[in-house]
Amino acid sequence: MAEKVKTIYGPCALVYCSTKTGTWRIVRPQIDGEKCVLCGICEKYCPTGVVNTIKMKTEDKKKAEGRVEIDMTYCKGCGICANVCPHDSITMIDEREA
Amino acid sequence: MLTIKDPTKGLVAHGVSTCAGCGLELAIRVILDVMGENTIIVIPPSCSALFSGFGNETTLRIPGVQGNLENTAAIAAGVRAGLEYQGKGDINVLGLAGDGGTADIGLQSLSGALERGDKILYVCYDNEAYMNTGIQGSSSTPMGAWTTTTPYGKPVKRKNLMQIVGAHGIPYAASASIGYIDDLRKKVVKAKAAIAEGPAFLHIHAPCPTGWGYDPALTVELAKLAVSTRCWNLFELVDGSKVNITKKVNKVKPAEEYLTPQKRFTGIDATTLAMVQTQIDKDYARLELLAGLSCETDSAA
Repeated sequence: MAEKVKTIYGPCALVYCSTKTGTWRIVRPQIDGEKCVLCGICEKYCPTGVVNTIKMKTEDKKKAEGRVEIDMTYCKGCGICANVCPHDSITMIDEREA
Repeated sequence: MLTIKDPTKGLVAHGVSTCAGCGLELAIRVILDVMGENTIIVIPPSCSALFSGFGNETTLRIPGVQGNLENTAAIAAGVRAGLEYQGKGDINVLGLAGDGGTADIGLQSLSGALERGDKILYVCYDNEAYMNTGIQGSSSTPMGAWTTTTPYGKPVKRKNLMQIVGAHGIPYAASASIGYIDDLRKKVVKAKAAIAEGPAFLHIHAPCPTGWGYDPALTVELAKLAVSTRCWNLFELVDGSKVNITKKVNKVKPAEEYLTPQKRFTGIDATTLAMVQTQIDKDYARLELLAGLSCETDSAA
């Protein structure tokens, strides 16, 4: 076996970090809690992976309760979530009006 | 050791400098979610290089190598050989390159790795041009599409990369799309299992809002439209011979429906459009024929 390398040659990335891509946003997603059925499709298709569907256990099994959270630090406002939503519960609103 | 500055839920950081609505970003999250932490990634200079980061910053939590444009598969094969020599054969090696780095520049090294049977997973995300360097046409650019090197629309048809890969007779090759996430996930699982025997290849359709000229919100919709117009077919090639169509389209839409929302096809004339449609029909007929043939050989065996 070769000796363990002690020197790193060339550039080597050792910091795992994120760019604050939320600053790019010109429109932001707004969720209508009334229409949302917590299907999780927006979470599945979000390219930045910032949508989280949080489901809570309820006694009535037919009605799902919970909420959808979007991390606005990284959301680029692409609008894919609003486009894929089968119940039209997401609307993209102007960032200046938010 | 890797310092984690911003924690994330997966292996890819949330804030990556890819364009809003990037198809590749969606694909890489699914791929790495399935491949897991026990993976080494090889990335050429491309849009995917945004994930390997620059300077001392990275947006991937797994180790990776940033190679050259033409040798992604060769580096991956080397990493694999090194791991096997050290007795670490359980670590997956993943090559992630674009269509230019696969179908044009990286084709010879990919072909070499597939021929040698190196146990690597090679993923080609296809955004149908050299997007990172400024939308130059590649051999995967479809007929009639505008790019900076084909200002009047590409006059010739695209390369059939899946057939080239399939000709090597590798254990598993599949075409997938970001419009069908569950299907993509299943294929990555299958490919991950297949690399125990030999190379696996995935060809993923990843729409690019910047290069194709459409509203970023339409990324997933367009990926789905490409499948329902048969501009992009979802199928698997097992052992290079067995063709399995994974998404059968019953109500086929005319290709025009997929092309019109994209700015890169605005200059397309009726003659080219008819040629594109004929080509699509021909390709699908061929694919169906191959799928039928492999069914027959199955029942004969």
